Amino acid sequence: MIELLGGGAGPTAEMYLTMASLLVLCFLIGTAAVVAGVGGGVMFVPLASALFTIHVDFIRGAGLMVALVGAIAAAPALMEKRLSRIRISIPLALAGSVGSVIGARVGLLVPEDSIMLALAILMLAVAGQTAYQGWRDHRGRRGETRPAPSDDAAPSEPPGYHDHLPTKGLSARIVRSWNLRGSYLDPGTGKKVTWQARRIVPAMVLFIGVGMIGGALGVGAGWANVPVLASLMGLPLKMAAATSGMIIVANSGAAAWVYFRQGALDPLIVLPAVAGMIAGTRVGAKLLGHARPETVRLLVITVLVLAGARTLWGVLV
Amino acid sequence: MKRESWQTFAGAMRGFLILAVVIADPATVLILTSPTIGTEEIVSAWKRSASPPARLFSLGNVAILGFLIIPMVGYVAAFVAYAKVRRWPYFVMTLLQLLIFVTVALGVV
Repeated sequence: MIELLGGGAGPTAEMYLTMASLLVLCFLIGTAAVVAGVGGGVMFVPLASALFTIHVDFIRGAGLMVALVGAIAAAPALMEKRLSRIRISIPLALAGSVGSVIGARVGLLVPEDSIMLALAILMLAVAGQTAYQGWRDHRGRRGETRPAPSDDAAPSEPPGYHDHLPTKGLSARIVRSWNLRGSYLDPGTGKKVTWQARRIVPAMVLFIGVGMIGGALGVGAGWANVPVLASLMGLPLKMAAATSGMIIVANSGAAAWVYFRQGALDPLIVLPAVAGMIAGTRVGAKLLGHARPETVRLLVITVLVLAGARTLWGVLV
Repeated sequence: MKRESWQTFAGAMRGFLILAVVIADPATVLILTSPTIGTEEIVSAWKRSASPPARLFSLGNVAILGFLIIPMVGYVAAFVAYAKVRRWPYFVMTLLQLLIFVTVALGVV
């Protein structure tokens, strides 16, 4: 570890400085991520790789721990509100865990340059996704487009709505057999929201791929989980976000063991990262009502694009 | 804090510290796992165990292990619950998930 951080024998000021810098970086990422509506883990790995001289394997290991601890911390409250459903997450997490273990094994074998290239592409893609989300929200507020599908839409579903859902095929049989439907009380609106999962088989296949990316790059992959759960499986958005956390617990947990066994989970990197991120997300949650999300989102996009371009430049040139 | 809760918390912290000392200095394992050992002896063993960064390293490793074990504990609880209510598809899936956790934890894959 000391050698990793560039110090000699015994405790070094450089080691403590690196830990303090990681703590501050993660605090800032955690704060900005909550306000901008971006996952903290997906910002941590690329930014820490770009800013520190620590080997990317250790950064990815810490990234998985950041995602795991964040998801564990959020899980009890989400389960209590019935937003996060175990019976949806178990089959998807199983598929995702298989992918994440394969991804972690492969990720630790491939050359560092390939990982950095993938991280640079991921950073630019997440910046693009965040920009698109911001643009859609902006247009939605101006009333130029139909508002994005929300949980409020569900209670107005006509009677017999679920009768029109597919009744044939493997996915439909699984949904019926595993009882992947239900309802919850939206804490924001106080209305009852009904839901029914669809296309469980394609979703499980996709989650193997999402898990592989998460395991290889050391990210929680909530940016990929939520679209699959909401758009492909037809779950309400809030429930998709909450269930994504449950899936991240299993996927990151399985992949993190691989990093731990390989010696790539270093407590002197993991602990400041996790502590900074948790403190940052708490501060970010308090700032939600005061900070301007557009400004923070623009800042996050700018940082992601600059860091992505810098990483890309470092790999290609 | 209620007396029972406090005792549980103190017991957990004692276990946490013993594990950290053992990681920092494996030779202490036989002494520290003795049921009659007092808290003062554990703390003095901790102080003797290693340099401050190494102690931090061992404490951190215990914390990481704790976080890695939490999902496994959750899945064991789910596995038992599904066995009791005989939801066999979920019973099998939680069993498979536990097998994944155990195999990666043991370094089989």
